[in-house]
Parts: sequence; C-alpha cells; structure tokens
Amino acid sequence: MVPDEAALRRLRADVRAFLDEERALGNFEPICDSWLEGHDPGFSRRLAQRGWVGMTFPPAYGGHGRSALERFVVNEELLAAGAPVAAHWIADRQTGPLLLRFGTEEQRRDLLPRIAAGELYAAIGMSEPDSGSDLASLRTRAARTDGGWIVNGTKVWTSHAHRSHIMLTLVRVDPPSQEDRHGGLAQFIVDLGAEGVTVSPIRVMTGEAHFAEVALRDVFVPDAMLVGQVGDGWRQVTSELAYERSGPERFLSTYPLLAALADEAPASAEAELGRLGARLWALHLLSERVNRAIEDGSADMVQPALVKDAGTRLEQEIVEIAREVLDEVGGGSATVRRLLHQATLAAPAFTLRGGTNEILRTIIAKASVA
Amino acid sequence: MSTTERQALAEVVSAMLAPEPEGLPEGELDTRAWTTLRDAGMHLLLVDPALGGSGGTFADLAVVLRAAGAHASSVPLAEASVAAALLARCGMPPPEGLLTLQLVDSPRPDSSPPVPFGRAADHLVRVEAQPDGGALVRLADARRATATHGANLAGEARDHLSLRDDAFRDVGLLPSWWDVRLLTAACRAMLIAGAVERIRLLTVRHATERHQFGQPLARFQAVQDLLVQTVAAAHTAGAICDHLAERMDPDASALSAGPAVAAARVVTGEAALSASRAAHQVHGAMGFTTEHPLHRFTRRALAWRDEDGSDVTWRRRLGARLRDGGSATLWALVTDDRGPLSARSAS
Repeated sequence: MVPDEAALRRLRADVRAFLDEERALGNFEPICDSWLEGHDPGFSRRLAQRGWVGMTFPPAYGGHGRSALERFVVNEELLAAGAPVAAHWIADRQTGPLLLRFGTEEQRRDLLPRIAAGELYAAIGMSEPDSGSDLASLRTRAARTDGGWIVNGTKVWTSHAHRSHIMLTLVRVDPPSQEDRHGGLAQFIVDLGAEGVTVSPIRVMTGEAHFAEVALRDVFVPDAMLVGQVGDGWRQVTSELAYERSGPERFLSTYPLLAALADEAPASAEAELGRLGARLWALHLLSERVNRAIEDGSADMVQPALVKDAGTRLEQEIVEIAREVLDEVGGGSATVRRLLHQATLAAPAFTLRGGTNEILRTIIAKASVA
Repeated sequence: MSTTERQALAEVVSAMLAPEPEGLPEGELDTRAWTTLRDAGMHLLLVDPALGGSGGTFADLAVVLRAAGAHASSVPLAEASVAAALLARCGMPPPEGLLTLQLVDSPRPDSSPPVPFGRAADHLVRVEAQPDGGALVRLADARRATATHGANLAGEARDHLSLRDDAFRDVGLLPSWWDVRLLTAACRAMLIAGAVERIRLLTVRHATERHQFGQPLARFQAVQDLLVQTVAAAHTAGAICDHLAERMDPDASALSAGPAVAAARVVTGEAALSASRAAHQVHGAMGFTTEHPLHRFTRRALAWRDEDGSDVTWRRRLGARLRDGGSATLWALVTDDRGPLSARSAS
C-alpha cells in the first residue's frame, strides 16, 4: 500500500532527524558517492534498527513490508546527506529482492533477516575480466558434484567483496545455444569465506580499493545455495538490473558537493546553480515515477535507463561546474574542496557502473523504435 | 477533472488541432482552429462558471496547452486563456472574440512589448505592474490599434500595437503582477513540452522510415544516440511539467509555485535545444527545409524559450533562491517545495 504525500513527508522528516543525531554525534561526515565509498557497518546496523534496511521485505522475513516508494524516499534522504550506506547497499537493493522473487524458502529464512538487520553484506559477482557489457559471454563455470557444485572462474569489479559475506555469482552451467546465448546460466550464493575463494582488492584512481577481483578455484557450493533453477540466471540478473538502475544513487552521488556549493557560490554563479538545480529536480521526479511504477508493476526498461543516463551525466557536470564556480571565489572552504577532490576522481566511473551509458542508450533506442 | 478526464480532454483537443493547415502563411491566425477551440470554450478553462467559463484548474489548461504545442497551432491560446482568466478575476465576463495579452513590468506608461497575434485579436488585455507589486488589468479594442507586424523566431505574430492610453479601460486591480508573470511562464512551459514531444515523435518516425545503406537510420548507433536525446528531452520536460501542473493552486495562483515554474522553464528550455538539435541531425537536409514539418516545431520550441521570461533569466532566479537559502534549499524544494520565488531581478 502506497502511503499518501503527507506520510512520505513525515518519513523524510524522520530520516532527517536521525541524520541530524548521527551528525551531532560525529558518526559521519557527508561524502560524495556515499553508497559506494561510505562503508560503515555500525551505521548500517543503526539504520536497520530504525527499520530502514530491508524495508520492502515482508515482516515474516525480518523486513517491514513497506513500499518501493517509501524505500526510495529514505534512500534519497540518505544519499542527499552523503551518509555511509555502502555496507548494506547491495544486499538491500537487489540481493534481498532477488531472493524474495527467485530464492528458496530456506534461503529467504536464512539470509533476509540478517540483511534487514544491516548485518549481512553481499557483493555482485557478474562481471569478469573478459565479460563486461557482454555479460552473457561470461566463463565462470559450475559443474555438478555430490551434494552441490564446483565453481571455477574469476569475477571482477565486485564492490566490497573483501568486506562482504556472500557473493551472488552468475555462472554458466550449460552451454549456450544458437537461439539463446542467455540460456544455461544460474546464480549461486557463494560464501566469500569458503575454501578456494581469493579476494584481491583493486585500487582505482580515487585511491580507494573497494573494488575487488574474486578468484574461485574449485569452490564447493552446496545445492541449497542455487538461487531458483539452472537456466534462470539471465532472467534473475535482468530483474536485478531494473532495481539497480532505478535508484537515487544514479543522480545523487555528487549532491553533497552541489549543496555545499550553494553556500559558497558567488552571485555570478546563479544561472549555473539554477540550471543544475532544475535538472536535478527533473531527475528526482523521473526517478520517483519509476519507483511508483515498480510499485504498481508497470515498470519498463526505458525510464530507469533514461534516469541513469541523464543522472550520471548530471553527477559529472556538477563536478565541473563546481570547480569553475569555486575558482571564482579562490577555491572555497576546506569542506567543499575535499568534496570536489573526491568527486573529481570518482567521476569517470559514474557513467560506467550499473551498465555503461552506451549500453543503456541502445536499450532506450531499441525500445523507442519498437 | 480526474486523470482520465484530463486524458480525454487532451485527445479531444488534439483531434481539434490535428488538421494542421499546410500553407497557412506565417503570422496568420488559424481561424478554423481558433473557432473550434472557442466554440468548445477551451480558452475559458480558468474562468468561473458564473462568468461563462468552465471553472477548471491550471492542470486542465496545461493539458490543452501541451496539445496546442504539439500541433504548433497558430492560435494565441495561452494568451487568450490567461487574458480571460484575469478579466474574470476582476469580475468581468470575458468578451466575445479573440483575446490577447500584454504584460508590462516597466513603470513607463508608453512601454509596449510585442503582442502575440496583435494583428488578429479583437481585444487586448494589458497588465501593468504597479509600484506596490499589484497588477492593473486594462482592456482595449485591439482593432482600433495601428498594428505593426512583427514575428518571433518561429514566424508567429508578435505585433506592436499602437494604442492611446485613453483607448484602455481599467477593469480591475489584482494583488500581484508577479503572480500573473508566473502564470504566463507556466503556460509557456506547457507549450514547449508539447512541441518537444512532437519533435520526439517525428524523429523516431523518421529514423524508422528513412533508409540509407540498405537499412533504417535507427540501426546506426550514432543515430540511436540522437534518438535517445529526443526521448530524454521529452521525458524530462514532461516530468517537470506534470509536476508543475499539479503544483499550481486550483485557482491558478502561481505565487507559491514560483520555484517549480522556474525549474519547469529551465528544463523545458534545455529540452527544446537538445531535442531540436538532435531532431535536425537525424532528419538531415530534408528536415531543414520549410517543406518538411519539423521546423514548425523546432522553431517554436526555440522561440518559446525566450518568451514570458527567458529560460536564462529563470535559471538565475532559481539560482538566486538556492544561493539565498543556502545548502538545504534545493533539497527542500525538490522534496517538498513550498513558498515563493522572489520577483526581484536576478543579477
């Protein structure tokens, strides 16, 4: 049941009050890209205690039975504030919904309550060194063995794998056919602490190493850790992508910088501020619309892709405008300079992650002429 | 009106405006379209039923204006609708005939900005800003004016009407000139959104139907990129205008929707440019000719950016508000926008 406008406003106010408390206690400082770079298990647990992790999971599995729109509203507030939500982000955003939709009852009972408690963290095991945009070409294999499967392969770009408990791993079980190169794939819940799993951090140009390469050498995965059926892999992943692309992290990553800029910009920068602000407003409206559509089951491929394409480019443009504006005032405060520095180095990745903008535009174009 | 009713209204108006006249000289009134709209009372949506209107809301008018924009109708529907609404607010039933509108924010009484379709209008409603911020609403018989023809970028009639001061009759005093400015600016946003949507449609159709190198243009990735720009422009403009339409008070008072009006003008302005550029690129040389319909929409979209306050000015106004309010302002506006946008001119 979707709450009315007044209830959503109250929810925003509640989250803001929580964030005020957290800031007052010195528990976090705003950063850009906080859903990726702000890994803080303590914060995740405290957020979960307020009922804001696993919001859309049914109460029977430790969740709160709330709507996609309410979850969207909470996450918008968290990202606008640059709060450290990275630890639980993947598990909450897509692993939980995946298990609810395709998982076994045992998997749901075992994992969902811990995700909702902000205690179980998940990584995405999809991309490989030779399979990025062309995910279906992946080579990680699972072969049947007694009581389970033996998995071999390498996954890459797995954010926070070294700090996560499980990795949702897309593997090839059966060979693809001519008619269906997406067939024969499956997802497994791989215990990142299992024997044969080696997690190696990958340092990126921001200086951070939250990415990782996960090598899987004869890793035994029990039958109970297969998500759904063999052959379901592609369908599961496509459904996860819809969740991944519809969120506020696709246009709010550099919002903390824009907010700080409003305090320090000279009058001559008003036109630029107005332009950025108006665009952000439109993206918020589009993203909200996507989440309402998820709610009533009418979600399509085009709108989330549009939000991600336009949103991530806005995130980048905020960085460059900020630099120019701050140059006029001699660089700005230490806070805004820190945010600008961080955002500048993170910026190239905005339009790459979660599906490159080029791929998304192909999706939009194809849907538009269909 | 409910959403379903509004959708029905959009379809009705679209059907009325769909016979787009080929060969109507630029600047001329589309008399057939005007008569059809007038007979259906489409210009009286904001007028109280007691004064002959249908007592609708801005959201209803928005739907009609988007259709007008999408059909590049040569009718001053926005101007006529606002003019009628203002007269009604002063207690006067709108007169028969074509109404047009002129807003004057200068203290100089002889200031006479160009009047949309001044040459074809029966009545001119002139709204003069008062020193206290109020609006003096005046009415004149436009046919008594000496009209010097002018045009905007799209060739739409923007005429200088020479009228003596005593040709005007004072109809009433409204509390806020800025409110009227915001209302006309909001109307302009809706027109632009309609035009951008039509530009998207034309572009998708062209890319699908036009073949080169043995395949439709739409198969080429570089062309797909351009198509996406028109789709993105239409969705973005549509979303901000949907929000603005809801946001305006039922009695169309725009004052508290100021920031939303500014945001809508900024976004539709950008959408007009990006959609027009991408559309012309896809349509090639054919789309650049007057023979092809595309220019009727792209020129309007571009021209309308500069009317009822240019989008550049609206950027500055919104930016000034953000700067004045500080770091929490944008988020407050986006999530729960309330409150005014200052009328003070931005630097």
